[in-house]
Amino acid sequence: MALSKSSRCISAMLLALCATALPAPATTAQAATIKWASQEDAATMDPHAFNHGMTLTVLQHIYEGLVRRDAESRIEPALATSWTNPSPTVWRFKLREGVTFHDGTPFGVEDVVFSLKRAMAPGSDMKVFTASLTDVVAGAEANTVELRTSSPNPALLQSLPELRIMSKAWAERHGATAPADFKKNAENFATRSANGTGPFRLVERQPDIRTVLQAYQGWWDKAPRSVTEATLVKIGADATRVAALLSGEVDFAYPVPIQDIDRVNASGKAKVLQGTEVRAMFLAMDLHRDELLYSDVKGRNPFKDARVRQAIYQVIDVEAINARLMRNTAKPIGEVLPSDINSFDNALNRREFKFDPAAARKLIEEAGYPKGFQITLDCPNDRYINAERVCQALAAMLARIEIRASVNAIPSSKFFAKIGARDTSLCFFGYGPSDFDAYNPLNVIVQTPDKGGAGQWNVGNYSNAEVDAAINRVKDEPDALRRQAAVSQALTIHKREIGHIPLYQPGITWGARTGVETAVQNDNRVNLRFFTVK
Amino acid sequence: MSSLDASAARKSRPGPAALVVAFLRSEIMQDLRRDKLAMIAAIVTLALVLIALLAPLIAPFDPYDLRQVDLLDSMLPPAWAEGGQAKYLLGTDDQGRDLLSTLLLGLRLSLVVALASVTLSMAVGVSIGLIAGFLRGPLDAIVMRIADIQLSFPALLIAFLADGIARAALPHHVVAEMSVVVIVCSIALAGWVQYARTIRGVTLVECDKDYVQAARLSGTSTLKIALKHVLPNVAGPSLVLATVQIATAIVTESTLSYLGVGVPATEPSLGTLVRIGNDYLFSGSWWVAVFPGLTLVAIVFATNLLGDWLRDATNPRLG
Repeated sequence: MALSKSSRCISAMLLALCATALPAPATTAQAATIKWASQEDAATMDPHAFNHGMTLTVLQHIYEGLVRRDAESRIEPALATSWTNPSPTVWRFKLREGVTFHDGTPFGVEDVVFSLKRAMAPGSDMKVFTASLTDVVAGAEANTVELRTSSPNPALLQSLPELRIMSKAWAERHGATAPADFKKNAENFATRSANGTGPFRLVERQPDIRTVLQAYQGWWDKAPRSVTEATLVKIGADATRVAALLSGEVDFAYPVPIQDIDRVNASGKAKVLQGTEVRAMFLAMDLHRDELLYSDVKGRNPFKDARVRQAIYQVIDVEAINARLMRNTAKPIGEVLPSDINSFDNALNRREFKFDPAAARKLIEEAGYPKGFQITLDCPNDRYINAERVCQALAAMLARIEIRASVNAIPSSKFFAKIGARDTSLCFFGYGPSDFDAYNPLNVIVQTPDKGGAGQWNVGNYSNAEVDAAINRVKDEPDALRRQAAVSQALTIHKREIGHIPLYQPGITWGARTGVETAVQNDNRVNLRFFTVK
Repeated sequence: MSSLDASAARKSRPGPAALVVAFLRSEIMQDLRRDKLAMIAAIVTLALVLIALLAPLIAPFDPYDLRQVDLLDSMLPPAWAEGGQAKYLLGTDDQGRDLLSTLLLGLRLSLVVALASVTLSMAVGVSIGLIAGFLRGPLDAIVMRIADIQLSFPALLIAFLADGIARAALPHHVVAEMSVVVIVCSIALAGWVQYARTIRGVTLVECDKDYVQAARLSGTSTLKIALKHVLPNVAGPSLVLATVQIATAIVTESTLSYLGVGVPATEPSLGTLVRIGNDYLFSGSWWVAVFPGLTLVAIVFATNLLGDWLRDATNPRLG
């Protein structure tokens, strides 16, 4: 008894010491069947409920838009074969013939009209992509649809890959004609089931456990596909995910934790595919409430004082975060928009203030907080590379100006519901415009929140009428140069006012076993269509 | 007992030095000296407790003071390894905290949580056991069935559940401040049953003995009998149980922290450090997980051996 008790404790300790590696069966996976592991799972199967990277990554296999992106992220025809722009505010699309949904029903005009209107309906999180749309109607000719916009929108095609088409009959049959509002935790039939026209159909869905996709034999695109079946598993723990990749338990795993890049490359069994993601990471501060929710400062909101915001900006050493926590895979930025997107001047991504703790110290004292204050920093712990570590490092940096930040690291499903409800005083997250256009993050992150869907993720309620006016001009401006000027005007003000604290663009680290090849998509969306598996 | 005896006892009360000598010469200490393994365990335990007590004085840095933490010093290897710095003897963790200091304070935190939760569960368990053993009847039946139900769940699960409920019920900033209290209560809640069960059994046996009957006949109140006569006689088993339980409590605390629900990451305990280090274990940065892991193994092994020895030493049947 004495021995068994002690030895039980020892083995428990040894277990804790050893990484929790999964039992690894021998790699007998057939070439065409792959298993891929991700840090997080798709939040819903509803194509219009949540504008969220991993959700859209999974859904792009099942649902398609009128157009899609090729391996180099260029727009190409998908459910529409051709389009014209007969007048500046009217777009006419010729639909592809002979397309069927996964349940066998034919695809037609009514499905497009229904789906685009669904994306514009209450509860949809895709309104950033439908912002300029006023109406969708069947065209005069057979098998055509007409999209009408409030003003000329040169970037319309860029948003269409994100506006995915569902079967109208299927949605009506299952009572899923409106998107279930993700922010209110609502669900409907489309949350767990799917019926699209895409290259893969959903055969099994267990949220946070496994999602099985199978190549759809009736797909209209006859381009060769290497993957016939793909099982997505969520492996939240970094070390476990890498162990699964190296042991052959999974064929593809992402993200690979930065500290393991060298080890994976040296293993001879797998390699890391790298790039820079089109995503900006930043801090959002509550700039609206008169008193913060999670702070010991009563009766006033310290973030409303520009000196406090500048102090926070200057005490954060982004270079140190990049060098130590990201091992130089990230790229420090000066705005909440990533570089190299449409209508955005990369010069705006020079950081406005340099790292200077002494200056920050002075500013926070001038603002009347020599003893600092207490704050909760909300942070997702299963999304973005090293998010929790970055948050802890941010808390340590803020401590130098006596801001005592307690890190509230929670799963992303809870995190986004929380900050979406504006239940936050300070939070760390990121946004990547999946249409590669500057209007998208301006509308989602910078514009004043309104009922029309602007400012969806402007969780600190930053608001400036001049900025809003400039953003509205971006939406309506057909001329490329004047459009870029409007973007720059909005961002120059936002930057000067420190509406957010920009941090960095994260790196992409995809781990693929030897024999699995794919081009790295800089929106960090894994697309099985582009995989070749040997 | 006559008053003459009592005053004689008062006169011959020994001084502190004599007490120590008496303790060292006592039967139990002689027994300990004969058992080499138990002796080593006792020395290790004593050393670790001393280190934990003096941690704030001997730690070269204050790892809880975030202002002293420099991210640029993160992931440095131990001083003797290539790239190590002399000021960070055991290296640093992912945030740039000195591992030795974090380890010392983490050990202290682990021991404080273990001692506090064991004390709390012992207080609760012994009281419930005494009451149940004395009153019997429906109260006894209800309490013991609750204990039976709880015994069918692993202690870790109970602690996990209690911790989760506290976290969901209280706002984040309250949990952050009270996390040690929350975790102590969670572990105590998981541990009281052992005491209640044992003490109830012992109480049932004691209650039938002549001295209790005699006290009852002489009109002593039930409370007085319970506290003055029965409690001292059941103290032995509960102390032995407590020594064994300390190791369990340390493991429970580190497991909870390892799973990320224990103490906040900015004030790491040993379990938190193992969790942080786990991510780097295969990446070459072994020191973050190995040193806290070894410390945990040492303290758990030592207290366990000590507990086992104490149980055997106080068992009259094993003389």
